[in-house]
Amino acid sequence: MHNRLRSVLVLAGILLGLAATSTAQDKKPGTDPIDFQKQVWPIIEKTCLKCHSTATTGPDGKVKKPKGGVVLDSKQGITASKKGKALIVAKKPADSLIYQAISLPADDEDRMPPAKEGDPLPKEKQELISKWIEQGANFGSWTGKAKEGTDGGAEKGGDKGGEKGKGDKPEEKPNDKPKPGEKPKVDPLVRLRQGVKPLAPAALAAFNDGPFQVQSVGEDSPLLAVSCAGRTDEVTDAAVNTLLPLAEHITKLDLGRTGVGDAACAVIAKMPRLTTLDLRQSQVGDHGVAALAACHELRSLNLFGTKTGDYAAATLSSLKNLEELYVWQTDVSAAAVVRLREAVPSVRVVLAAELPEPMAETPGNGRRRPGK
Amino acid sequence: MTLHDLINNTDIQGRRSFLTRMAGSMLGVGAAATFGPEVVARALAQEPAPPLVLGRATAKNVIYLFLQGGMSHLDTLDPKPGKETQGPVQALRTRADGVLLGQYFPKLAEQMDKVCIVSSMSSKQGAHPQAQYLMRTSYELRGTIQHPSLGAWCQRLAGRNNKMLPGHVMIGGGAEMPSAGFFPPEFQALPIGSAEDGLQNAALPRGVDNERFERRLARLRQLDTAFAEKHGQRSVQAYDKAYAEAVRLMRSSDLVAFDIDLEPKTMHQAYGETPFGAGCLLARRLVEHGVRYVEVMSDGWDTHADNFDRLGDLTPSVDHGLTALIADLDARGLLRETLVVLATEFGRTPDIDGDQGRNHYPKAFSCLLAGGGVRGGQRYGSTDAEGREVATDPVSIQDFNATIAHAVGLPLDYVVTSPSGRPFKVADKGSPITSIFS
Repeated sequence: MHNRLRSVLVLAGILLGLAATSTAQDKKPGTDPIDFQKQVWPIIEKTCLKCHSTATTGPDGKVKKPKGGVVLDSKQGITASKKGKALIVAKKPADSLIYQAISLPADDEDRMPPAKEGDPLPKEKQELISKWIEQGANFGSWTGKAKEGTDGGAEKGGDKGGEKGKGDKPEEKPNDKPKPGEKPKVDPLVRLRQGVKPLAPAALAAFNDGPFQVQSVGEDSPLLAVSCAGRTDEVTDAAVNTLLPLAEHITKLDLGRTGVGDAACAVIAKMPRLTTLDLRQSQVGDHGVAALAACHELRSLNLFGTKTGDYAAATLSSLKNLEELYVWQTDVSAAAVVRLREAVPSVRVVLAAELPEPMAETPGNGRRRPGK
Repeated sequence: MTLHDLINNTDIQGRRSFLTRMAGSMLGVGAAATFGPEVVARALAQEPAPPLVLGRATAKNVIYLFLQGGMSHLDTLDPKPGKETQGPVQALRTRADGVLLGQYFPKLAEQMDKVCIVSSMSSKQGAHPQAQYLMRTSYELRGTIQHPSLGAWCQRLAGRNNKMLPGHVMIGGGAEMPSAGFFPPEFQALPIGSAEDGLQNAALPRGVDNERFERRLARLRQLDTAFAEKHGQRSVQAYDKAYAEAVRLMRSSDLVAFDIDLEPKTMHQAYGETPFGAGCLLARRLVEHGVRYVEVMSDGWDTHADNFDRLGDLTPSVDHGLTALIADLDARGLLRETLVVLATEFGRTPDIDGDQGRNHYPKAFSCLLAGGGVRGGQRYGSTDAEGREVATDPVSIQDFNATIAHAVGLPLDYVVTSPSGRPFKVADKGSPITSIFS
């Protein structure tokens, strides 16, 4: 624990130390909003990233891990927590681990950057970061490195010596998870929230009595997740129509097991930020799905147990962002899936469940009642 | 059967604790219809919504499978092929490149691309009740307080997904385990003794039609009102709520969620036709209908003697039930929003004793996560060559529970004060393993 804290501090210190030599504009932190990318990021980039970058695999095959698991090259990393303590607590510099670390006295062993890595950040850089946190730690459009690469500790370490060359015994190999060549993946929910104004609480409260459950997707995002709160039998095409005032805000919509049909899809097609749509076991058919071609941000579409077929699958080929499509227990054919995959290579189509074969014989104790 | 019978005919719990649990698990919508607004108003006045900001949830639901007794890590999730501590057990290659399993999990091996094994679990608690308690609450067992279980925390901080159904269901035992703890009784889990039997006594008895049932309820209300006014305690209100919720549930179209007989024969076979497999199948149905937190218990993993033969008997039900659950959820598009957890209270000794047994070993053990935003096909953390010590990335029980809470978007810093005035958090001081999420 102490060691980890120390590393966080080291990181932060580095961050700050570099700031001194950075090209960041030496603006006094006044009331002007601080631009993360222009003013804060250069400090981090120069001071912290030597030790606090996303894990990479070097040419020698060795994985270079971020110190203390703290990764500062992505928004996700900077907003992460360390042992339950947030690196950044918006508006509260004193509670933010990063600021704590950089503002420790020069002789404190937890200070970041650590003494052996550099001098403490100059006061004005510390204040700039403090100010930025105080103003709400706004990253602007900056998101940094691919999310996938931030798995500081996910690689397998462990003892593999002595295992090698053990005949044909299976061996554990380290996962080469972070692939340097991969395209950085930007979290769509972060991008899509840009410029979206949160709805007034009163506008949301109006839905409390209806069959829908309307919630923020979390982290104070203006984007909304809408589900049926269990009242699936009350959710009809007409009910979906009442969601129109939220159309700009809805990013996740769960209408699974409801009575909605093709008419609802015309309403859904007016939701430009929709990323996840669950229509499993609804009455939606081919024509409804065809209308969804307007939802360009759609990542995940669940049509499990619907009356959809190859026509629906064909119309989805224009959804280039589609990542998951569930068509088990529909009339969609394997050939249509192949065609869709050619048009949208990123999509994973689930056509059937890979259920285990029945048990060969009933085991003895396995049949005992649990809890007895 | 009548409501009266509903209360009387339970073989799992005493009548009172059954009521309390019913009340707890079913509190919520629907009371107004039966009991008038004043009861609801009282309940609401007492439980103001906590001002909390949820994090970005990667999982909506949790299915928590618990193997009581302590599953041997070496023989199942963390094999060490060729080492003396491995005994006679072979290791299996799996669909996930480089991730091995013990020979007892051949079915699971085919779904490993969706599974993350956590191999570096470690605690200091080597006695069953204490270790189970710690696993389910993140706190040490004490004489002076009952801590809430993780399921109760989920209800309290994130609410229910389906307001018609209980938010937390516990299948196949576990009645002795902590549930709501010091939280109000409405956060108790609904216990289902046996998945094959489902929810008992939920239909009207022969000879009682709706009208007669209404009359009986009206009479009950009449009798209760004076008492409830005189004794306004929370436990009295909890009884009111239990009745209201039970009636609501009896009339709900979601009642079918509890009936696994509605599943085709092939589905029962895929899940393995054991009590544990049936529990997994029921868990899938409940999650489909919006129950947020479902636990399924399996007992008998305390293999002090004949460890290897016993595992041969114990593991098929879990291998089938868990594997079918993962594959079935995935094909329905539900695995992306459902975190499946396989947990146990500790591991078992690497050294095999004279009875071919393995004994309690909390120092290093393994659990498993699948779905709910967790990247499959990986092993997090590791033990040394013989499975004796955690070698990399140690995970405490609190860290593990924090990871589950993180997936559901619960605020880990949110403090709930116990009636005795002490502060508690969902996973104590645990921090989530964020790197395993995709």
